[in-house]
Amino acid sequence: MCEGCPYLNERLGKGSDIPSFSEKENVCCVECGTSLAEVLETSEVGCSSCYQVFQDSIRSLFQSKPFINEEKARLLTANPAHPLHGGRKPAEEVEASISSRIVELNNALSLAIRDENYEQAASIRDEINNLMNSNE
Amino acid sequence: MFNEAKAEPIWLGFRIELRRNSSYYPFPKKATPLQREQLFGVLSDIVYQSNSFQSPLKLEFEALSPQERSFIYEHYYLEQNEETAGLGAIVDTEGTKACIINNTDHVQLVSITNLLQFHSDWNQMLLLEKNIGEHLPFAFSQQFGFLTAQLPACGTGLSLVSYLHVPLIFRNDEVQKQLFEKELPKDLSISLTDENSCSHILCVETKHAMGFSEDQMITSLMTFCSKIKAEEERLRSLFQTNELDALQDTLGRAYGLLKHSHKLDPNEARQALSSIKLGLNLGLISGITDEQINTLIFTVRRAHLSLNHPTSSSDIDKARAEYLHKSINSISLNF
Repeated sequence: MCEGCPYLNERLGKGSDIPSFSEKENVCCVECGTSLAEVLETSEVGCSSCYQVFQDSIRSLFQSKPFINEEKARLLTANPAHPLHGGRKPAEEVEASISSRIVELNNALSLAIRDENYEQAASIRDEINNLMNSNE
Repeated sequence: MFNEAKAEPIWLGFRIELRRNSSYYPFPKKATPLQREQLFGVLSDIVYQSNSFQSPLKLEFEALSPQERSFIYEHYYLEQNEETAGLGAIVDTEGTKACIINNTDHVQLVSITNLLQFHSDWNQMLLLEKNIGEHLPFAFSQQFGFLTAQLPACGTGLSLVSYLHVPLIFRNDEVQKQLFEKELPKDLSISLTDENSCSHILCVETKHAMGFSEDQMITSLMTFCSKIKAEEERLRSLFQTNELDALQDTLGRAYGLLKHSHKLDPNEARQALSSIKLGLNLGLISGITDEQINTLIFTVRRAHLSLNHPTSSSDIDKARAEYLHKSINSISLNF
């Protein structure tokens, strides 16, 4: 325990420089006036600046509430610097994955067969085969 | 609703929702009505110029009647809001695409699509999103992704729901247990609302917008729903062989109810329509198409019914029964 430990000081009646949890909850976003207490209670923020102002608390919320799956929460606990966002960035082009396209085509194939549209079915089957080959 | 193109008998369709916010304005709840109005104006200009929607229609929520507002909320599965000042939607005439500024987000892009058009509609949505982002830079952080007012929605800002008509899975507790408890991936959830349970429509939805890429979310949903579809198909072929008598009895009762009831509440109507849809898919009923049945399942809801089929009857259940009498007039039982 170091000399300036806030908890030791508190026990010795010297007070503490670190705000207590309830004091911290009164911190507000200067842009929109949303307080941390509101964020913690409602899981809602008022503007994009709130994400910067309450960054640590929001990260903790993501770890403790079911906003991400358990596996991701474990990764976050193990490595606090682990990025939360796994998706695209603004204006980023993304190609659909081959697997989801294959699922879609398989369903189109069964519809074409149901409707006895064999010409269309053959072309869908060829497309599936091409995708499967390119995936190998 | 899901009546576009060729209907897939089991896999009815999807609802894709993408939430975005501008970094220039506070999120809608903290924005003034004037700021929201300005945003809506900018947004509608972008949508009109982008040609993304077929014959777009600008709807200011404040100018709509409560009945019209309910229709929009019901049709696009939106959360009902008391607050309407400065909020609104731009919709296409087909009723499958919408760009909304609501009480929580500046931009909520919604697309109602089916399996065959999923990827093309998703790509169109991304194109519109890119277009909006060029004029109205999005609130984005490397750490939290696309920023939204509601924390659980930030990240990709994407939410996907898939709708499957699975009456036989609904009857089979064992299969339900296997699929929904053991095989359901952790990033998906099953939503069982009263409204959908009555029509045996299973809603499978993505649970998290954060931590996954958009493509991972789509693939996970597609793969699990394919499994559900295959299971329902297996049960249907078994049912047709082993329980034909019970099936014919159910169909006869459903037909009688739709044809002769004086009053029908929405749940009764949807349950009967679900049985008719199953009979049609199994070749035991004719005289109506799958697309028409799908449309009926969604249009017997209160707001759709009262807006599309204004009736002198103040009793909505009576109006529903009358509407269904006319709609199923051509149906015949093939047994």
